[in-house]
Amino acid sequence: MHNVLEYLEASASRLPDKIALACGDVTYSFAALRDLAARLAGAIPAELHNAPVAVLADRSAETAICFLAALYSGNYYVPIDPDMPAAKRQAILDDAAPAVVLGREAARSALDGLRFPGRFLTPANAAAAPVPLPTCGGDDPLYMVYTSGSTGKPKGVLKSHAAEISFLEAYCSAFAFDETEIIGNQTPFFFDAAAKDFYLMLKTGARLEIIPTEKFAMPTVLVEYLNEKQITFLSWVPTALAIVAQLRTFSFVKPETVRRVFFVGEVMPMKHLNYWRKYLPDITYVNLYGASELAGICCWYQVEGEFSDDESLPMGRPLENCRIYLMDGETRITEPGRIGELWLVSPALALEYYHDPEKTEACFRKRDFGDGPVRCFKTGDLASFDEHGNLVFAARSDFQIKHMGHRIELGEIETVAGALPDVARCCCLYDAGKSKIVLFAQLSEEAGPLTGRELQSQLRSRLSSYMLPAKVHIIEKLPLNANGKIDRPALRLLM
Amino acid sequence: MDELLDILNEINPDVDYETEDNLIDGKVYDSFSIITLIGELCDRFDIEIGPKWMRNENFNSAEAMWNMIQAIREEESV
Repeated sequence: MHNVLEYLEASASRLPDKIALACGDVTYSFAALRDLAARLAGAIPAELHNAPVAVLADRSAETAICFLAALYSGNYYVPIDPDMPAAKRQAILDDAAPAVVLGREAARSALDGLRFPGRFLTPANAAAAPVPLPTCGGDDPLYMVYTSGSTGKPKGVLKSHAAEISFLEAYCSAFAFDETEIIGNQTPFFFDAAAKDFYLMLKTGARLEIIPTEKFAMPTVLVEYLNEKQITFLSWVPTALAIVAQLRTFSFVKPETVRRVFFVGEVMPMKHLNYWRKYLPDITYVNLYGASELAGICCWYQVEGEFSDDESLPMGRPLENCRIYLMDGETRITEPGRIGELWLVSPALALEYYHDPEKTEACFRKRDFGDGPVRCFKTGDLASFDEHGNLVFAARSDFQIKHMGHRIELGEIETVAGALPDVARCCCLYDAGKSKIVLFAQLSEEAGPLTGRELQSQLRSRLSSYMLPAKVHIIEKLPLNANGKIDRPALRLLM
Repeated sequence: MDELLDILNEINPDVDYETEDNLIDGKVYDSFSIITLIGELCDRFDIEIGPKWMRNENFNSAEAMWNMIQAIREEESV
């Protein structure tokens, strides 16, 4: 296996008429998916090779076709959330500099007012004949996702075909997925976690049901939809699962066909998982742990036994394609209970931070753990081993958080808020207990009277919705510590 | 009704609740807004909004929410 498209070619040959992708009433068989993607690839200029092709990744089956078209053309895709603020969309276009943007006609307006000198193509532009399978693969780039950057500038993480293939083989080996699976996709396609669902469909011949966004607003409607579509497998962010529990949905309607529930992207609140387990004890629940700098995930823990509401779930053990090390500085930790930083070694590691060799060098290092030098990634996550050898998450080692399944640099929110004319200084904190982002702002001298809600309103058009602080406190002066830095512990007392 | 409008304005002040009748189907409110909203409605109107009331049509407009609150109150008083 050299190129992920070989998975699609195999599934399309084996199961040509089986539904691969569905979103509402729109469906594509494996044969149709291959045909349309390979024909749309024919519309992409042939001189492009291993180049970025941006995709306006709205929640539709056509987004998947655009991803595959970029790959059939011998290039890699860069998903862009069409609903993110224009400045962020522009920053990604400037950084990746794609010659082509793909997307549905309905998403085209996401380019309005932006500097983009290239071509915009939709599936309607597909050529008459499909292109052949490209020769690239292996360490060639597959896709690049942009994550929050502390400077306010999104940073691109580039992953290869080999990395995704390494993950997928290990993932399927651990969980024995097959074509009978109906995957209920929750994570948006511009979000790294969605790649797991997407490539699982290509490899196994399973069906990928893209659940329409509005279904998530009403949990009872959502569960009825899962039953209507006979969905068997969920790999969702904990927040989406928690909402179902918070609104006590299962006393009214229960999922009837779901066999496995995986959660990834942030810590799953045990209280809500216990609700799921109480009503649906026969489902297999698995806690996944990964990083944007790695294809897929690296650790997993199948939930067994009882956990009280205030206990934390372990992150478990590594997939067979990963090795994990807990490090205290340069010293390896093996004893239970001692906290260290998690380092990863795996063929699934990302290629680089795009256009940032300095950061790439700092985070992806060669190190000898006893059997020769290997490339490893310092995650910035602090963890320990429990007495059974399972990893247990402790905290982030910096100001990066996981919120609603997204990795967010609090510094990015501070950068955007601090750029508002009314704000002199600000500081962003995360209330992990309530899953709330809280901003403290000191107003500039020129600012008129302004409430926290008004400031929040100003931020609404400048930040992605998942980054918008739930609460904005206006304070006269930000407290400073002895070093003249903002006194975060003092602010935390005000939360 | 004024109290309901206050709550809605606290959640998202950028919406004209007098005219908007597509809050859920039009994706103005997402699941996170709904969680906040339901918590506030239960607290401020002293009602219990059970799962059977969780339908898009009960939350698509301020008026629909108000009607739902009245219906729950009537049900709870029986």
